[in-house]
Amino acid sequence: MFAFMLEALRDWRERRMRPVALRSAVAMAVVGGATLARPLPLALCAVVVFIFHGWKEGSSRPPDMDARSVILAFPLRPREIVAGKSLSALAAWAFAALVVSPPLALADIAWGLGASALAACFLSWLVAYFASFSAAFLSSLVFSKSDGLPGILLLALWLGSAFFSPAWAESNPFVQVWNILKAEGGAAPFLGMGACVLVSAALLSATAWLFAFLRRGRDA
Amino acid sequence: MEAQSGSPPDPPSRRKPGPFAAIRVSIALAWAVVSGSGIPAWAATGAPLPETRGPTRLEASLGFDGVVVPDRWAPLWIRSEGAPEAASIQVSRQAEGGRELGREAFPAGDGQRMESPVFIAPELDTIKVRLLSGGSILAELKLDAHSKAFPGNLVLVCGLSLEARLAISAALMPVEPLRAVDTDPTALPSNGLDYDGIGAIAVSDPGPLLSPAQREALLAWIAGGGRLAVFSAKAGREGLVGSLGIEDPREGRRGETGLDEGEGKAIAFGLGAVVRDRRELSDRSGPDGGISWRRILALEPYVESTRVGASALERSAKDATAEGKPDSVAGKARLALIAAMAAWLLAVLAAALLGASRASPLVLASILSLGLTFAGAGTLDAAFMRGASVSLIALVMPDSGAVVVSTLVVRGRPLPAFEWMDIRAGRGLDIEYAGLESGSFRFGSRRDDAWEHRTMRVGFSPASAEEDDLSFAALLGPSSLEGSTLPALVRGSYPRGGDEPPDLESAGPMAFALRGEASAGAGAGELGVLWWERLPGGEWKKIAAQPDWLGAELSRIIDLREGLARGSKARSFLIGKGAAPFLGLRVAGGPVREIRWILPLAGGRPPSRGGG
Repeated sequence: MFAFMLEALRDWRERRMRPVALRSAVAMAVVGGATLARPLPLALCAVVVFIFHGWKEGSSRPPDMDARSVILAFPLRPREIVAGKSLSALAAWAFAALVVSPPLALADIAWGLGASALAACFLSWLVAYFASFSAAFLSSLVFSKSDGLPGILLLALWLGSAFFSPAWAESNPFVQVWNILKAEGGAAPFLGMGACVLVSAALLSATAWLFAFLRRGRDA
Repeated sequence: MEAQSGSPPDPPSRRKPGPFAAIRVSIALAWAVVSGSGIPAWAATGAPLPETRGPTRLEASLGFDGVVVPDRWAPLWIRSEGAPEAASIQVSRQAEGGRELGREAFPAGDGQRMESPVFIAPELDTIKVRLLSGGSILAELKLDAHSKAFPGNLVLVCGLSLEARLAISAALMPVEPLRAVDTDPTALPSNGLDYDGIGAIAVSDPGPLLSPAQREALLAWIAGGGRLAVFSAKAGREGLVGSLGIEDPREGRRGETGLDEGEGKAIAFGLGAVVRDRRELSDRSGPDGGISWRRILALEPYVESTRVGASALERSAKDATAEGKPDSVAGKARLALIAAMAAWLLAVLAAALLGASRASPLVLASILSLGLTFAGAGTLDAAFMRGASVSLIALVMPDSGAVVVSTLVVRGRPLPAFEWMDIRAGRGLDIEYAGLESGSFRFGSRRDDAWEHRTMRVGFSPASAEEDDLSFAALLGPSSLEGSTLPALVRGSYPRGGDEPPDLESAGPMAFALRGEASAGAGAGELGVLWWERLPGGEWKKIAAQPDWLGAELSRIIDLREGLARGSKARSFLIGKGAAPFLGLRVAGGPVREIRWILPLAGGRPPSRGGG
């Protein structure tokens, strides 16, 4: 597990760390500068940033190989690979969160954002990042080189459900962040995050199962 | 209103546990939960049931016989019995829909009647009173804040006949009705704030019945312009007036108080007066006993009230702040934010480009940016104040030393507002008084402006400690803190019998304004203001107009013809600018600078001692 995690982290550091930092910084600086570091636009921008990075992290692969081949080549058990990849994604998230934290601290100071609200936002971003990562990971395994139509569909379904059903609205990270900062909805954003965590876990389990299925097929 | 949880145990001989005892207990518990009369939170939390001293009882009532005046403070009476020693009372003020506007807590005081002032704000819908102990809710009550709201003069009547009460109710007819509420003298409030909604008090002398706290509260209200009429008045300390300590040898100023012969004698006290009449009301002849209640109680139409009280100051500050010109700090604040954002972006770009595939430069740049952001937080915090202009009024009640802080947040300054971007700010504004007490005030509104009313108890009592001098200090904004929009200090003093104002040597520039009607010339009869300014040596020099340092914004607040002083009975005002010699105040961790203050005075000459 740790061997896969370290390998994934090395790959992330060499190929994705700088783009992650630069994209995040540019997006946050543009939105922050335009809105004078207002917390709500910055928080919504951070949702986009983290979903995007989660997606990129989940579907990452070397340029000359497909994702399925890379994963199948590792002599580890499926659940160890899934866990290792998830841990490396967590480290990548922590890095991205650190990079975007200065403008958020600025917003906190200038506009009186509460510490609990800020912490809840970070939790929401983490959950959104992982949901996006899980969908992309599964998708990359199913569709090999393609970043995956099912993943995009899952993402669209997830984010779009807020428009169709109020019951599902809180699973949308944009709605979560909105309600956290507007102090509306009480504990509903956390229920939404819980639902997202369950879905992410289900997606990762499906990934592990699919990985085991593919390996059995290959070995046979 | 009353809530009771638990009941006295039956005698043991009557209690025969039957086969359905457990079911009955379950049903009783379920009923207690459903009825809300005593939600046993301990059952849900697993906490042990607190030991009570018997049946727990909670009673609460609002106002005077339930009557409150909107936009004024009103007393909330609470009494609990049978609660554990460590029990506390929690008062939660809620808007429609259950949104909490504020919360206060204090010890329950078994069997004692507690008094907690509540501001009857328009958005206030319900007051929830809870009796708490060890995390458990022993009893809970809900009071409707506006069910008996009366937007007019409220007169308290103690011990007078029904006829007198009816006559008082019609005193301002046909202009407007007023509400006369019968009350017991011993039930008068013991907190000066709770008199805020009272227009006048008429009593049949009950003697020296009032507690020291009640006397101080009553005096504070009279000093601010209240009128107390005492009939069947007893002489000396045996009477109410004597027990208040305002026996004045100069009583009987009928010419100044507008009383006719036979309507009693008025004793001026601060900006108010006490009317004392030794006769019984029933001894009088003619309609209404041959007296004018309007004159005796100095009743004025509600909107023209001349009393100086917390709510009057709040209105003045609100008007002034809402109409203020854009703050000059806006440009600097905007520049600082954009510069900080650009500096951070450059740091990340540099670290990413120079660091190749190493993570440490980026991590270092981010940590460094965070550190610099927090290091500059004090400046930013003071400059922005959550993007809103903040105006404070802190009224120190002379009777109790309680500080009432009302906070006005006006959105849109110093930076432009975009409604959808507004958040509910979680961080409060920290206010500290003389290092004795501090409090945090949370702004929680998404509307254009919002009031937050909070009370804090401080461990000192200002000049009220002096026997002959009643005073209050208040903050009235805005002024500046590190260049941002913040409050100014206003202090009112009501010296009696030619007392000198407190020592003002440490204050900065000072002016004296005398209100009056011009006696000659084209403007004869019009209300005008004469100005004096204090010279460095302490001498007073007459000047043609208000001094420049007064500032446009403050002069709008205290415009002696149109603003705060319009209805005030004070004839003169001492106005100053500089450090606050009266009240050590810190806002958001920083000292309040450029404080401007005003003392309404009963006298008509510049002070000869203390001020110069």
